[in-house]
Amino acid sequence: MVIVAVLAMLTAGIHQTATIRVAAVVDSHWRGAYDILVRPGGARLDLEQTNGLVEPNFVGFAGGGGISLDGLAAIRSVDGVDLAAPVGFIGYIRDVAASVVIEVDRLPEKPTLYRVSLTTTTTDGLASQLVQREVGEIVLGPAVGSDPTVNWTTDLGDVSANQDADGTWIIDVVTKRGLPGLAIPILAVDPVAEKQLLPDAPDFLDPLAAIGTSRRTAGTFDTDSVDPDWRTAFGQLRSIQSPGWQFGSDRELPVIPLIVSDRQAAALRTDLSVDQEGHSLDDYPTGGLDVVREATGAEAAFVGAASVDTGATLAPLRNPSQCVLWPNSTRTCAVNSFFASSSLDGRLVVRPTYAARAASGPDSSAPAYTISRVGIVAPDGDPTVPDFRPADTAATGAFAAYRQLKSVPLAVSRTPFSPHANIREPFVLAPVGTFDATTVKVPADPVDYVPLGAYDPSDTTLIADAAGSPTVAQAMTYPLLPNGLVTTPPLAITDLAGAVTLRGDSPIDAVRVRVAGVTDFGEVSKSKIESVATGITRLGFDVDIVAGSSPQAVDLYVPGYHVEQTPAADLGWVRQHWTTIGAADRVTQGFDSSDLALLSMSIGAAAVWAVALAGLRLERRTREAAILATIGWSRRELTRWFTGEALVGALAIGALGLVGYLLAAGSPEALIAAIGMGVLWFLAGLVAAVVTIRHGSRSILAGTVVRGRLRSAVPVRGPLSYAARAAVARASWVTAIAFGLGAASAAIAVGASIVAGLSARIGPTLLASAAGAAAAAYQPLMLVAMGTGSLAFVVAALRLDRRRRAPEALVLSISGWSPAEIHRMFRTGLMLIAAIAAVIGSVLAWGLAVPFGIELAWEPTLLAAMLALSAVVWGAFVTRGVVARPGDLS
Amino acid sequence: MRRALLSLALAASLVMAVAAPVGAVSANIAPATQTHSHNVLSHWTGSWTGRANFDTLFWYGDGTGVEVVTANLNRAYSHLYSPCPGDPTNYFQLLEVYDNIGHGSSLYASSTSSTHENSGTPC
Repeated sequence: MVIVAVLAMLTAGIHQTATIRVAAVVDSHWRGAYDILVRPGGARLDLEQTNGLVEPNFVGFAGGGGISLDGLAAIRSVDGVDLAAPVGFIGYIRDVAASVVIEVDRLPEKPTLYRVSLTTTTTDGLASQLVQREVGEIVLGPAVGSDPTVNWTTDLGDVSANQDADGTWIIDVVTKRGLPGLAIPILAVDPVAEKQLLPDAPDFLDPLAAIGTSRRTAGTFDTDSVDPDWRTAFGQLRSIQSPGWQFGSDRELPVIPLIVSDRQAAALRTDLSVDQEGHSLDDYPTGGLDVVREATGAEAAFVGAASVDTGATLAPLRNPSQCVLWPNSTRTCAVNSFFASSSLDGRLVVRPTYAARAASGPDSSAPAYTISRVGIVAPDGDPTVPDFRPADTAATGAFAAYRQLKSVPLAVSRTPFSPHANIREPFVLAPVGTFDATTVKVPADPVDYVPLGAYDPSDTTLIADAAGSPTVAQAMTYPLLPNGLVTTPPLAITDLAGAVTLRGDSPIDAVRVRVAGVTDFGEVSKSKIESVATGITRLGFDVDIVAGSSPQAVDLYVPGYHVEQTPAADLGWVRQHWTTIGAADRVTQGFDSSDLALLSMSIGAAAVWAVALAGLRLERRTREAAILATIGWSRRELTRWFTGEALVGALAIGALGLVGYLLAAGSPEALIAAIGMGVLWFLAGLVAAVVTIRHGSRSILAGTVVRGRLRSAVPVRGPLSYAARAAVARASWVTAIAFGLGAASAAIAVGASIVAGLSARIGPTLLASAAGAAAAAYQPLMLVAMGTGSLAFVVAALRLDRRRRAPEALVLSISGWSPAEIHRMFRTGLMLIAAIAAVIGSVLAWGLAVPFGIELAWEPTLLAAMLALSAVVWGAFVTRGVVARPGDLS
Repeated sequence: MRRALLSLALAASLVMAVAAPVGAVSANIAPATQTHSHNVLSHWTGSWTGRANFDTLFWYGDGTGVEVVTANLNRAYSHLYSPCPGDPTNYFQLLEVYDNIGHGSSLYASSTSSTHENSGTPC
């Protein structure tokens, strides 16, 4: 009785503690930077193909706007809105790194022909990738005549020459084939709201917030606010504002203030390799390179190599250092760069197409998709075909594209305008501050994550090759491409006024809304969020409640990646982290359902024990009832006695529950469990009393030991038949123990399946992992409590049964049975109980598996049967010392 | 007393002289105008005054330019306009000179010129 009550309270108490721990984790992690994601009506991302998962930096392919400043004001006016941070994707700045400049400061003493190879590469983190390659020749030699450049013939590009102060000739070769334009994604935000949205309120947006909305034309803009390191943009404004500027209408051009990344997200490197062709000449020959080559001969000799790594200095809108010094030169480049004006593309990327498929390997439980390749593109994202052959003098690299680029013309492009001087667009971009786009802080704890839609790290890791064999994990880096495998973070950010200029009156793609007065993951908080969401929906916008979102691993199979091969080879499997909307709900519901399942199992098992205990007492009570009836007790008196005894037991259990509830500072489940046990105890006692009185007053004789229908059908011929007859004769005992053992086996087996399946119930998100770690011990603890109680009950019942049969063993011993025969008789009886318990346990486990959401029902069924059958082994062990104790006969 | 005042005035003058920005005060492109056929190299000479070093940007007028960091007070520029626009075209050149970090009116100077390119071979 005590075991029943304590176990019920213990499991309920553990459940209560686990619930509190999980709630604490969820409460501290469920809420990210905002609660509701608002989009224009009908613009919601189609997430069905990815089961509600959304990839990082999704704003980049949201595109097209749709929410006006008035719409934003309406959202902000909805009751309960604490913060509404808008975001719009403007498009891509086509930032042209222009040409590589080769600078020569050491001229050979005699005219010499050189073969020059210039290779620009980037990297995806896995390997070097060709961006562009040029091969050409140049004749260099002593400066002769008033214009020595006429002798320095080359097919590489334009040659200019200047003499340094010490008379040294500095020759600059501007290569004729400009580098591909780099695509710089530009985002629009409300800098004040965005600052409040981002963790730790970073100050990099402050210069943008300080600009204000007045003085936004090129003639009035405060040039002191422009970062002078961005020479071309600064020069555009300064020249327009200079008194002598001959294009007066330029002063009316709108200015787009920008915070720009102080580094390009992708790497870029240029390598120069120089060989001398043939021998030097005494004089410059008359004619082109063919004539020179014929004179020098073609035998090549390596001169040297040099390189420039622009990755560290390349930044959007800033002139890149693309000057490579001639091999073995010791000075620095005079030419910083040969640059070109940037232009703003009205292009957006479309979300890739994903197809669900089997997981990446046997170890991966992450959702898996194949991303569709949409074509082959040049480094600027424009379609191309691989055209490089070793014999070509120039080639542009080709890359696999996984996102479609769609053209969405800029509103400002409708302004009539003719490019002139250094003004190439009907607006002026003005960098007013910088940030590092690759290190913008998203929530410090990844379980706090909600999809900001931007700023996400590249977070793409190669994990397996195309055959699915695991590889050493290699992180991939941001690509040059806007439409490559990895999405790029915004490299420039403007404000909403700039967005209206560029995109028109409705430039906002999404609004991230934080709800006021939300503190935990309780029903009140959910209700507040839902209320605000409803209010915003009424305005005509699409709304997603993202509070409680959490990232999880997703594996992508990447086909056709290596386009330099024919046919293009697959990359293999990469892993990213995507966002699950509503992860917190799944975590709490998953924990609650499995906890309640375990609690139900415990209480159910305890209930079976209560009934079984009543069964165990049945025979003794029957004899007592027979004796009492013999000496004249009436049925009413017998009923009153038995009922009173059951009531006392029930009240004792209830009292224990109450004490436990008060001492444990309030576990309502524990109190309910104890009261339930008490009621069940009373009812079981009541039923037993009725049965006892009916039997006891009828035909049971005191001292009856063996009876039953097998008496005549199966004569005693040895230990086995005796065991069978004894089992039939003690039907209530055998049934009670078998039921207890079967219920315990089923409870443990089903409980183990529930504990093992917890991760599937709470989901694969990082929030689930954190909550799981916080409450990891509690469910196994509930299982241990249930198992310990079960074992204690079964052991006690078996020992009681054996003790009760000790006189029987002595009689058999006296009758000439050997100890081995007696042992075999008891073991057979135990096997019979275990077999019945195995059947009962299997049926119970099978029946419980479905309502408790266990997918593979055969697992707990088999386990329950095995646990019950195992009693044959440990049952004999725990009852060994009880056999044939002297004195038990008395 | 007079000597003390003179000393004070001298010190103040020295402080002001040291603190005053010294940078590019002028920039010039020569020739200011030129005319030639297409597919012919254009040549200019940019010059400036101030104290080395200088960061100079020369815009050719077709959206491209060259940035040079130099201690010299002048530099030759040449450029081939391409592709051929088909019609006679005016290109407006701009020379910008930054002295030191070049953030302030006295540290920045600019000059413009124009180049008229007639249609010619291969247009």
